[in-house]
Formats: sequence, structure tokens, C-alpha cells
Amino acid sequence: MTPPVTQHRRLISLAARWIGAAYPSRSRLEHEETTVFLRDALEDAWTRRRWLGLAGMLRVTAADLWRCWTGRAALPLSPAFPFVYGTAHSRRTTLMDQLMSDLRYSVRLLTRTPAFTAVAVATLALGIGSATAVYAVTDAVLIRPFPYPDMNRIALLTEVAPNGQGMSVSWPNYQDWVAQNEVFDELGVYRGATVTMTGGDQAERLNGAIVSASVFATMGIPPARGRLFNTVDDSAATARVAIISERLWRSHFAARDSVVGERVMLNSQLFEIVGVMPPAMRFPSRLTDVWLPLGLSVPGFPPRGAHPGLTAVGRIKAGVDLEGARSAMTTIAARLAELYPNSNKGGGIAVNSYYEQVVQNIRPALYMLLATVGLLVLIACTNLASLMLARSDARQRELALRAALGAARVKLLRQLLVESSLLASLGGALGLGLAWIAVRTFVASNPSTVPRIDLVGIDWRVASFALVLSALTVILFAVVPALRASTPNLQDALRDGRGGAGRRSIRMRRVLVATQVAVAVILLVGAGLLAKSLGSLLSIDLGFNPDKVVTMRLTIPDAAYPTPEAWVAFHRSLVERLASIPGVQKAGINSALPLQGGGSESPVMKEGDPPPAPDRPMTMTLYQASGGEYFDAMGIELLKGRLFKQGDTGNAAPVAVVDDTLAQKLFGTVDIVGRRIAFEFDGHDAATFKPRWREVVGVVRHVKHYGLVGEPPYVQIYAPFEQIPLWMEARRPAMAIVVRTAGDPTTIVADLRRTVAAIDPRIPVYSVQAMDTYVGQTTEQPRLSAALVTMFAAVALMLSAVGLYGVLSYLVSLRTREIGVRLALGAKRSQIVRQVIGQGLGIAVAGLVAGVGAALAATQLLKAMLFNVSPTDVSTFATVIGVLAVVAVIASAVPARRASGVDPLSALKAD
Amino acid sequence: MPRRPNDPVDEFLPLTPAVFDILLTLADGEKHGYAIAREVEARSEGQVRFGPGTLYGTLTRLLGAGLIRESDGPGEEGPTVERRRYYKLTPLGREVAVAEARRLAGLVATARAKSLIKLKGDAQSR
Repeated sequence: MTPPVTQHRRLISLAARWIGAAYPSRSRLEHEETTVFLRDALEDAWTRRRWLGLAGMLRVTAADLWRCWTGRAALPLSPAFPFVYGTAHSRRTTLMDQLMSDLRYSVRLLTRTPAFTAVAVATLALGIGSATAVYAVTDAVLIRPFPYPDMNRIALLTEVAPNGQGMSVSWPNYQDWVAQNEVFDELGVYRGATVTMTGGDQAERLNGAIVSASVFATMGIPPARGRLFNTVDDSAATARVAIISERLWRSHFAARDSVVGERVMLNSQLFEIVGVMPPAMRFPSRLTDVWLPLGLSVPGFPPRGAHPGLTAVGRIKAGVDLEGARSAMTTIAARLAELYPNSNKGGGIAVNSYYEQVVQNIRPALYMLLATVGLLVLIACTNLASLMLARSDARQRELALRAALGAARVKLLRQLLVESSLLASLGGALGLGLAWIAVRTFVASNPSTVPRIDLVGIDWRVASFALVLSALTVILFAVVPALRASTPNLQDALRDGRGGAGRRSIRMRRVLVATQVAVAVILLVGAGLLAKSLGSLLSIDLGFNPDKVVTMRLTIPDAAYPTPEAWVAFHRSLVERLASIPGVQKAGINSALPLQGGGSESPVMKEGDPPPAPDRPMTMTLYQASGGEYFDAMGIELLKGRLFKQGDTGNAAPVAVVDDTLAQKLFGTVDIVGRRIAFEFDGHDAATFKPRWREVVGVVRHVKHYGLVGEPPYVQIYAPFEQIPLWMEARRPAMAIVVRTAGDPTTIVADLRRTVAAIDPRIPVYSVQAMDTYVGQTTEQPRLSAALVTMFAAVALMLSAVGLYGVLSYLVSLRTREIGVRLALGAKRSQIVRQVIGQGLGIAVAGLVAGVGAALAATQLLKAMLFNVSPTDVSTFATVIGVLAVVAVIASAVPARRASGVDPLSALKAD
Repeated sequence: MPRRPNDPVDEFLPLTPAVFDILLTLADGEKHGYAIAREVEARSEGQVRFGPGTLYGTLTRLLGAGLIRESDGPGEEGPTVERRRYYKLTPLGREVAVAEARRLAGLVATARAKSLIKLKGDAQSR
């Protein structure tokens, strides 16, 4: 037999087995026969007519399945006598049969009232769908286990400055930590790095990391191929070895088995690939594609006082908890502070759980969303319970009749529960579909602030959540009405043809609607607070204008541009060429970009200040190298003096542009053009201390650099890139291109890339971003939260309006006769309207009071997510109460009009 | 199979068309389930198609009524052939099928007599 034939046979018998399993359970032998039959039929259909045949065959099978599941598998022998002969095969009614019959009955009932069914299913689908979608994200982000064994023992360690600010780890300090460590099994250190890979068609920038051997041991992930780094790689400055990700291995090395031992050009130097990491290794980042050994960087690490961007990561020993690790490291920090007071005095070590680090930003938002969808499901169930009650009232007569005819109570109850479960299953299935669409849309929008977003999807865990939730809703919305409906008051119901509505039922429905209103209050208040908070976030003064600005970064390999002169020459020619690209209005370069954080910081002093001393805090400044028309391109306003000009070169007098906060802090005024400041210092002690003075030539607006909120109180300095700041000379910064355009900024990206390639094709251009998109991303989480909660709140509002409307209409319909009598006795129609609306408002007010009380407690949980808004913000609460009151009046108005339109004559005659 | 001994054959008539089809299929010998379905389908030019559930459900009913019984089949056909269940007509089943065929033939004869239909053997002239 040829392989393809075997394959299609295997597929067919697999399909036959699956379809066979869909048939109701019978004896094993019959099941086997069915499967053999299906296999033959599939085979025949395929041989004869291929897809057309399969389609026909499947249509027949579907009808056949339907017959079997509805208990009509056996054809009657004779149309006249459709009964089974003999007794051997007569069917005893089992529970399954009874349930099937209940199911058939429910299907008939539900198809007879399509409007009810549609509303019920849609309500459930909305509730279950939103909850499932939110759960899918929560599951991927928070719940699903990470691939690292005993992840709760992995901790990240950073240093803490005396002022409490976090700092990266100094290299000598790390070495002392390792030497004195007693609480970590493994203690490694790493730093993110951008790696330029050349050798292919064009230079490519990779996400890389420089790691010590212990980092791999800490994470506990073995390599897919080859080896990990060892202690030689940690110390030898010559170990040009690299470990690559499986992703990179597939995309760039054709998944060759021989990859280990191959050589690759990274940062203009040859590296030998020694290992491949499996996809489970997502550290330091899920995007990391190449790991380089620490040893190469060790010679360049600065002395103890400097913090070269390292982070330590360790695996806490079994039997030691986070607190234990913290106190052990605090002891070490104190010891080091005593030994090295100049650099370490007052400093500490922060030890934090890696898991916490990953999820801490997203967790509050997810919990809030879970609570929100929980409330939404509650509202949906309340609405359904209300609907079911109305329906069972309407069916009171039918149920009473069935009870009178001898149907046992348990039977009625069972039928009602089957009906509810059917609704819940339909709602759940539809909800799962909705969740699938929602999750796909969410993932496609690629929210950058959600960790593990690549893992979010609908899988069996999420599906079982939807299933359990659907079952739960049955209990919430069906059991009470079912219990009530299955104990009908026989005489009343049979006598009163309209179907009775007991006081109990009316009271229960009022309570249900009031509950809905209360839940809607909570959701609306939450949405209102988040929206208001978002509003204040969006109105923050950025200090620059992000419209029509595109930015990109480039890394100049040190090996290719070894001298500062070569580096400056490259950027000079870049700035010249950028300005001449058609469509470019203003173009410049800068070593940092607004809102992106990072960059270099230093103390700053003005001329005349005493030299810095350990006990006198100095103002810290962010400093940047800038060129071209950066300020105009970024839309940073000049307040005093001038911007940089072409003459500000390495030979000219050193100059600086500063921001208004520096001027105010150091001088108390922005009028400081011509004054001198310093942020670069020669000499390491008081005797040799010598500032490098720069003259302030201009003052610009302060720019939000570290993010929209929570900026450290750093001031800002810009220096011309041709006068590279002292500390940047050793480690020259990666510059960013900033271009302001007349039209859509993204259209000239290709031109920008070409311009860079024309100067040097080895230089990769990356992180291309429209500035307004980037600004949008920084407010992504608040925007997402506000949008989602608002959406859920709107649904809640709608559902409670429908609930209020429904219950009032019902009450009016019950009181038609009474209203008719009162009208006949001379009551004014306006009185009737007022009374009905009053009734509606009564229910609404009860809900409002309960809701406001609950919201006051619930919004305390939102506190951490609110910016410049109090969780008890009066105007938000007032607006929500107003909105709900208006909605309540509108929802009551229609039934009220109907009540006032009652014709007394016909109302009385209806008896 | 338990069958009340005095059941007149007529009690089964008329037969449901699909059931008659099954009996007809078994008239010329024992067959297994799928063979029955295939023959019925071919004869009706695809108009009558059985799914496994309906077929086995109906066969079970026919077994219960004593119209068919299981047979041993033609024996092993080869090492890969699964054990299938074969069915054949019981004497009663044959009687019922014949009676139904007669009944239908009578009806058809009437239809011809009333010129409702013409069959091959009928006169071509008007």
C-alpha cells in the first residue's frame, strides 16, 4: 500500500470513530457496527464523488444523529401500527429518556416564544462572553504556570540609593554579594543589550541580553541544543560565544542541526554559537533572541560608585523565604556600606519576587475587570430570573393543569431546569464565540503593557471556565423561579384564566430590579471615575508636541566607528541629509526620547556653588546629546535665549540648553542665559575636583521623560552632540532620529531608512515609531480599563432599564382593571401617570441607595488606578445618580402612558 | 425470537416504504448493515439513504418483530476484515415481504387499469 492511501484511510477511520462517538451510547457491539458502517460509507462517498460525496454523506449522518438523539432511530414497521412487536426491545423509560423528552418539550416551548428565547440567550451570551474574555486574559497573564520551576523562588535584586530611588547594580558590589551570599542557590547578573547581526542581506537588530552563567541556572531551563554558559564565559574577556533562541534558530539558521559551532557576526565581531534555548526561556524578555556572556563586558565595568545597568537575579534556597533573603541582603549591604562609605553609604538592596515584577502592573486592572464582569453576569442573571418569573407566571395555568393531571412536582421542576439549562448552554456557546472574537481583537490590537499577551487565547481551560460559568448562571437565574413555579397555587391559577401573579412574585421582581439598579450604580461609578482619571492623564502637559512626529533609533557599532571624531562625523552628515528629505519639515537627533525613560543622569551645580559633599543633596539632572533641529522637530518650546546652532562644535566654547525646572531650582528664575552650570566633573575627591563649565544659551520647556506620572524630580540639560558630554565619550549613546513632517509621518520612514543606509548600510534602524502612537501607548492601560468598564457599565445600564421597564409594564398590566375602575370613578389620567412613574422611581431609589453604599466601598479598591481623582468623587456620584434617575423615568414613562390610556369601559368589560 | 404464533401476516401491512426496501434487499440473501444501506441507496438512485443509527434502529425493530434474524455471514474473508453482523429474512419476514409486494402489485394493477400509469408491457397505441 502506498503511504498516501494509508494516510487517507487512517483519516477516514479516525473520522468514523469520532462521528460514531457522537451517537447515543448503546451496546459495545452496536457501537462497533456503527463505526464500521460510517467508515465504509465515508470511504465509498470519497471514492465516488470526493467532497461532494462527503458532504452528502455528512448531511445524511446529521439527520440520522438527530433521529437517534430524539429517540426516533427505529422506523415504524407499518404506518398504521407504529409500535414495537414483542417486549424484548421495548424501551423502558429511563432518566435519560425522560430528560430527552423534557429537552424536546423545552425546544418546542422555546421555539414557540422566539423573542423571549432571543433576549434570554443574548443576555446570557453577553454576560458569559465578557466574563470568559476577561478570564482568558487573566488566565494567560496571572494564572497559567510560568515555565520556570519553582518560580516563586526566583527573585530580582537591585540597589537602592539613599533617597530610596532604585538603581542598577554596581559590578564590584555584585561580586561581593556572590562572595557573601548565603541565601541564594544561584545568583546571576544580566543586562539588556541590542545586538546588531550582520552577514545576511542587511544589518539586523536583535533583542539581546548579556548574562552570567548563573542566570540560566536560576531560571532552570536547560538548552534545547548545545550548552549553557560556564564560569569561563563569565570571566574570560575573549570568550566570543553566543546562545540563540529557538525562534532565531528557525528564522535565520534554517533550524540546522549543525548550528552549534557555527559562527555569526554580532556587533561587528565573530561569535561562536554554543547553544539554542527553547521557547520556554523568556528571560530577560520574551523577545530575547541572543544571549552573550558576561565576560566580554567585565573589563569595561566602571568602579563601585557607578551603576552600569546590571540587574541581579537569584534563586532563593529552599527553606528561605523572600523576607529571609531580604534581611540577609540588608546585612550584606550594611557590611559593604561600612567598608566602602564613599560609594555605598546609606544604600540598600531591594529583593523582589520575579513573578510579582511581571504581573504587578497589570494585576489590579485585571482584578477590577474580573469584578466588573462578575457584576455584569449578576445583572444578566437577575434580568433572566425576572424574565423566567414572568414566564412562569404566564405559564402558571399550564403548569397547574399539568400538576392537576398528575405530573409530579419533581417532574415539573425537572422540566423547568432542563429548559433553563438549554438556555444557559445556548448562551454559553454563543458567549464563548463572542469571547473568542473579543480575545482575538484584543490580541490583534497588541497591547504593549500586557505581559504574556502572546499566550492569550481560547483553550480548554477557558472553555471549561465558560462551561462552569454557564452552569452557575442556571443556579443563579433558574432555581428560584423554578422552585416557585413548580408549586403553583392550583385553585387560584385554574380559576383565574390570566394566570395568577402572587404578591411574592411581584415583591421578588421588585427586589431583582432594585438589585440591578444597585449593580449598575457600582459599574457606572467605576466607569465614571476611570474616565475622569483618564481625562486628567490625557490633559497632562507633555512639554512637547507629538503630532506628525516620527522617531527611530540607530546603533553605531563601536568597532566600526572607534573614535569620537568618526562618531561625530557620521551624525553630522546624517543631520545634513535628513533635512533635505522631501516632506521633512524639521529633523534632528537626540540621545533620549520623551516618555521613554532611561538616559544618563548626573548631579548638576551652578557656578558659585560649593563642591558636592556626601551630606549635601545635589539636584540631579538628565542630560542628553542633541543635534540638528531637535527642539523644533519634537515641538519643545524655547522660553529664553537660543537653540543650538551650527557653530556649537567641539572647538567652540561648551554650551548647554536647559529646561525651566533647572532654571527655577538652581537660579529661581528662567532668565539665566549666559550663566554657567556643570554636570560633568573631573577628579574623584575634593582635592582634584574640577567641574566642566558650560554656558547656558537657551531655556526650554520641561519635557515628560520618565512617563506621564511618577517622574523623579530630575531637571534636564541638553548638550550639542558635537560637544559630547564627558561620560558619553566612553560609552557613546545610541541616537534617535526625530522628524516632523507636513503629512502622515509614517510615509517617509522608507526614505529615512534609505538615507541612513546611504551613509552606512551596516547600521540598523529600529524602534520606528510615530510619536503620537507612542504617547497613546503610555496611556494604554488606563484607556483600556476605562473603555472596557464603560462598555460593561453601558450594558448594565441598558439591562437594568429593560428590567425596570419590564417589571413596570407587568405591574400595569396586572392593574389594568383597577386603573379602569379608578378612571371610571373620576381619577385624572395625570394622577395615574404620576403614580406609575412614582412606583418605578421607588424601585430605582431603593437600588440607588444600596448601589451608592456599595460603590463607596467598591471604589476604594480602584484607588491605585485613579490619577487625580478621589474614589469618592462627588461629581461622578452625582452624575451617575442623575443618569440613572433619568433612565428610570424614561423606562417608567412608557408603561405609565399605557396605564393612562386604559379605556375604563373595556377594562371593566374584560371580566 | 419470541413471536406470538397466531400473528397473521396481514397485521404487518402496509409496510413503511423504507422497511419494505430493507426486506427487499435481504430477499436474495444475507447482507451486512452497510451493504443493505448501499443497495437501497443505489436502487432508489440516492433518494433513500440510511444513516447507521436509523438502519440499526430499524433492524433491531425488525429482529424484535421476528421478520429478520442474524446469520453467520459468509465466514472470514481475510485477515483484515472485521467481524460484521449479517442479517437474513426469517420465513415470516419473507411471507410479509411477499404479502406487501402482492398488495402493492394489486394497487399497481388498479392504477394501470385506470390508465393512471403505463408500464413497459402495456400497449403503445392509444
